[in-house]
Amino acid sequence: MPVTGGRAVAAALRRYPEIVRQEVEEALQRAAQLVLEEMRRLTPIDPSSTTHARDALTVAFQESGLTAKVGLTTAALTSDFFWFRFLDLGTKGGEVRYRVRGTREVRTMQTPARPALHIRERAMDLNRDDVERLIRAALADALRRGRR
Amino acid sequence: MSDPVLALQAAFYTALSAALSCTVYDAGSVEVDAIYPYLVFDVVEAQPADGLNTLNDVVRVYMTVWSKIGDRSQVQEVIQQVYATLHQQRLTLTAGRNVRCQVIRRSTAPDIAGELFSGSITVRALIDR
Repeated sequence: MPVTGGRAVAAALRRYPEIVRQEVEEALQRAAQLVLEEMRRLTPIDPSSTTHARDALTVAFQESGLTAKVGLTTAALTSDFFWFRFLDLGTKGGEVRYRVRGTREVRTMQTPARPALHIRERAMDLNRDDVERLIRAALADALRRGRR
Repeated sequence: MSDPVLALQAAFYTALSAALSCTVYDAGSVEVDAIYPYLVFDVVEAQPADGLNTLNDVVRVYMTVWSKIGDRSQVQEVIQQVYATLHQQRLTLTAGRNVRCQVIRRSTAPDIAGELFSGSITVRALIDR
């Protein structure tokens, strides 16, 4: 008995990698946005200041579209909003030395001992279920699209 | 103490104070002249375990270890002690019941000034109210 439809199956299988990539890329964008919003919510602001680390938090995607970096995504932002590190990781208190970007000048500042807020870790933990659900749904959608 | 989340934190404090070779502090209570290394409870976050079941809570406890030794060794030693004390353990609480504790994250990083090392530990605990 002749078996037919082999070409259609092969064509469908060839389409899968691209379909999966498209679906997962979209899901990852939504997931990264969820984590970003949570990070912004968890990042306190200083009412006496006009610049807030919260406003500098962004999402940057690598060229593949399948890797997202959430937070202070460039070296310049990390330098400009250096105190985000103190909020996220906490401080021991006392004198802190730091270098001004683009110069060799080293400054010092006094910081109080502050508990770490674990902003990045908590943002991931609080959204882990939703991120997994989005990616699972994207994979299921990709399989459905590939069958058509 | 009728809040299981507070009871869990108290149980963590008791267990870690007995097991660790360093002092354990709650957030905001670190003394100015604290002796290194020390461990701080930073954030304790509780959520319902799922949308339907209000009898179980997932509690995540975020802790930091601070060390003045210029490499990771001391921080890792304390983290290892925390892991041995809490991972896959069931602590006795004064309110509610601890179903299981799991250490879900361990990391170490140098301080921005390069003088200290800190380590982060996250413990996930499931409690019955």
